[in-house]
This record gives sequence, structure tokens and C-alpha cells, in this order.
Amino acid sequence: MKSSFTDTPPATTNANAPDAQPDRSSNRRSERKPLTFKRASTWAIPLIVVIVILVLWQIIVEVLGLKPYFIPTPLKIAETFKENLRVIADNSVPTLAQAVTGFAIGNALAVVMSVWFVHVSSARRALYPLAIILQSIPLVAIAPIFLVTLGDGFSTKVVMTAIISFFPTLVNMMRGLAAVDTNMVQLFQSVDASRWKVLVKLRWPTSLPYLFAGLRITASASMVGAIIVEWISSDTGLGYMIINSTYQFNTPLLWASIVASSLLVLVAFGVVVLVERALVPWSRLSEIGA
Amino acid sequence: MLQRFLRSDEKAGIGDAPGLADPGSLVQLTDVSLTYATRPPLQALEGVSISMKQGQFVSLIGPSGCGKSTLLRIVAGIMEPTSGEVLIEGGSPGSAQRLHRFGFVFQDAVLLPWRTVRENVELLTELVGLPPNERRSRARELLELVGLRGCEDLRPDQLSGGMRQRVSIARALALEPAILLMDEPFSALDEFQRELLNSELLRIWVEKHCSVLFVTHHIEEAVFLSDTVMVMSAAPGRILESVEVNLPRPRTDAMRVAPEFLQLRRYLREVLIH
Repeated sequence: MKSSFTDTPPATTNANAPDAQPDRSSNRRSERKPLTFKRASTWAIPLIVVIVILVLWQIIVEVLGLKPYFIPTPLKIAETFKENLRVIADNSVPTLAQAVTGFAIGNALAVVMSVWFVHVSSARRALYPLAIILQSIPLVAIAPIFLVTLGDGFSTKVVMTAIISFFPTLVNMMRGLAAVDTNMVQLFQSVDASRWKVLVKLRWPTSLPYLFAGLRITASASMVGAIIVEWISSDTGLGYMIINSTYQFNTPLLWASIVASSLLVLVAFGVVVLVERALVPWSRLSEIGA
Repeated sequence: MLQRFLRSDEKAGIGDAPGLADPGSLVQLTDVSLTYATRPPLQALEGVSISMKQGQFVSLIGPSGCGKSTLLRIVAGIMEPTSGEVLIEGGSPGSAQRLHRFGFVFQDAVLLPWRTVRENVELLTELVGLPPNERRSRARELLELVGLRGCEDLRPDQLSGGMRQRVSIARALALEPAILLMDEPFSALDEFQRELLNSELLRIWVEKHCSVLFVTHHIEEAVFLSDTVMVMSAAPGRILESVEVNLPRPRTDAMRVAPEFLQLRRYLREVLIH
């Protein structure tokens, strides 16, 4: 969750490589076809790989006669998932709630801070190193501090997931807000545009692909963070289920909880990608990185 | 034939004493020098004098790094010269900028990808605070002028390089500038697009009655477009020679192979290589 926070979008801001395509209508149409084909193959191929792995897994476990508490078959996991659907759903709610709340708070703070940092260099010089230090402390190490000061309730968990969500978006947004074309800035200055106008009409839209790069990372990171915090201290949630089923040697339930967790992460990621496609149609990132 | 190649210092308005601005002059640079305060100091421009009249099409040509783009920035008031005087319509570049006397066209079209073609053309009129209907009618008229009627609602990534540059020309004209400052605007285009846009630019220039200061490193383009071609040398940037192009207007593509045209081209090439 730390390694990938500098997910940089390609330069989408200015004009692309010049081409000599005089006919725009054919240009537009010809783009569509290979795209749908590509999209189909990007979905179909991994799906086939997954099915093959699951089938092999099932066969190997049955042939070797391994016990379910050692390693359950995919069918057994699916069965457990179905039987415990109610429990899994009930425990998904608190995990999702704290992940979403932390995600929202952390990202909102990151956006506000990045705008502040980009415009006020003294603020950036004073506080940016602090943000880096905060990021460099492992979450698991910092968790007990918040447990002591804030107790083991909802607020601790939200603070932890907010911290996780904060930094990747801060870094991406600071890049995005600065990723404006100097000639474009010159155009704005040539008509004495205020810094507010430069922000609203130039920097902010330029930074949106970078913001979504941050949001994609933090969507899954906040979910992972919420689960980790539940390991440390909780009596509900998917993290708690994972730990609890491990202690009880209920390996099929452990696997079912893991499946539920990754489904939640996938959904969170998918929501971010969909929102990005709706809000930032000019960004090519959603097609490449999804 | 050779009497056409008048030396710059023989022309009126060039090399005048500072402060004696010709009232009809649009751009008047007198002995402009620029030295960067590096160690050792780097002289980018040395004793550059330019006089440009209302309605003229002037090209600056020279090797890469000769300071032609820097000179353009000095004219626009974006950079200050170390010494020398810059007058735009008798005033400072800064006041000319405040009166929106400059239109900028860059090497890349630098369009905003989230805006449609029309919204890109409306950028400056919007920032200046013109009412929406006024912005829209200007944009429509300008898009028609640059040959992009019907493309109003397309996005920049749906356009070819040449079309994007047309949009950027329309945007530059939106505040009705007196002078278009163009910094190698067609250098990223292929030869056909370049020649097409050369003719288009001349048509636009005639229709809008504006003046153009055009930076290029393409000799043929400079000859085809200009009234005057200023040849610059590198390190430090100086004006080697100011060459009048007395080819008749309107210029046609057939002229590109006319003997006078080719002779001018050859002559400029010699001056550049010297």
C-alpha cells in the first residue's frame, strides 16, 4: 500500500503528437472498433486464466485428499460463503463504513492541502516534510498510539484509514496542479487572470486525472487499511472475521472472508473508475489503467 | 533583382535614435540586448533593432538557439531586455498587453482538452469577462474564418494537428489583437499541412488587417509569408540582415517555384550559412 502511490498519468494536458488526419469523422469511427475488441480481450483472457486456476485447484486438492482446514477447495469456499452470507454481509458493513469515511476525509484533506501547498510555498516548505514523515511511519506501528488516545472505537479506525488515504492523493494532486503547460499559463497571464481563475479553469481540471490516480490507489488502500485496523482491535468487521476464523481453524470461513474483502476492494475500485470515466472523459488513464 | 535585397540599415525606421519612435510604427526595438546572469554571463541577444509597421508580416529566421523565441518574449513584455528600448505602438509592452494588443500562437496548439473547440476559442474572451452571447458570436465568426465551421462541439483530441493549430489561431484572434506573435506555429506539421496553413494564415492576416511577427526556422515559409525576413545569427543572437520580400500579393502556391522566390530562398540560405 506504500509502494504504488506515485501512479502518474501520462501527459494528457496538452496537444498530442501532431498527425495528419484531415478527416475527423472517419478518425472518430475507426477508434471505436479496436477499442471494444481490446476491451473484450482484456476481460476475457484474465477470466479464462482465473477459471483454469480454480479448476486445477479443485482437482489437485481432491486428488491429494487435503483436509479443508489445511486448504479448502474453491467449491467448499463458495459453499461456506453462501452459508455465511448473512454474517459476511453484517461484518462487511462496519469495514466498508470506516473505509469509506476514512477515504472521504483523507482525500478531502489531501485535495485542500495540495491546493494550499501549490499556492503558498511557505506552507509547502513547512508542512510537506511533516506529511512525508507521517507517511513513513508504518500504520501498524502508529495504530497503538491512536488506540490509547482515541480508544478502540470508530474514530480510531477512521483516523487510520484517513491517514492511509491522505498521502497518495496529496502527492498526485501536487503533481497534477503543477502539470500545467507554461504557454497556457502565459495565455492566462496575458489577460491578467487571477490566481483563482487559473486554479478553477486551468489547474483544477488539469489535475483531475491525477486526482483519480490517487483515488484509485486509496480506494483499495483504505479498504486494506480498515481490515488491518480490525485485526489490531475490533470485534466486528471483515478483519475481525479473518483473525477469528484463523484462531478457530475455520479455514473455509477464513477464505470466504478473504473473498469478501477482495470483492469489496474491487467494487470500490470499480466505482472510482466509473466516476472517473463520467467526470474526466478526456483522460486516457481510465482506459489504460483499469 | 539584387536591388530588392536592401540592407536593413538603409531602411527608414531601423537604427533610429532611441525615443524617436515613428508614429506609424507598431513594434520598435532599439539596440536590445539580453544577458543571462549565469557564470560566465551568457549573452543571448546583442544590439537587436527591429522596426515593424502596422499591417506588416515580419519573420524572424535563424538557427535553433539564436534567441528568436526570446526576442518574441521581449516584444510581448514577458521578458525584460538587459538594455535597449522596446516600444509597442509607442508605449511599453506591458501596457500593450493590458490592452490585449497581442495574440499568441505557440508551436503546440496548447488547447484545453476538456473544452470543446468553441470553448477553447472562447477562453480569453471568457477570462476578460465578455458576455456569453458576444463570446459565442465571436467564436463562431473566428471558427468560420479559420475554416473550422461545423467543428464547434468537437474536442481537441478529435482534431488533427493542423486543425488544432487553426483553433489556436482563432483563439489568438478572439480579443482582436493588433499583432499576432507566432512562435514556430507550423513546425510540428507535415509539409502539406504547413503549406496549406501558410496560405490560410495569409488569408486570415488580410481579412483581419492585423500584423504578424512570425518566428520560424523554415526559409521557404518565411519567404512565402513575409514582407520582411529578419535573419538572425546565434550566440549571441543578432540581426544579420533584414531582407525585403517584394513578391506580389496575394501569394499563391505557384510562386513557391517562381525564379524570384527561389532566388530569395537561395540568398537567405547563404546569409544564414554565411
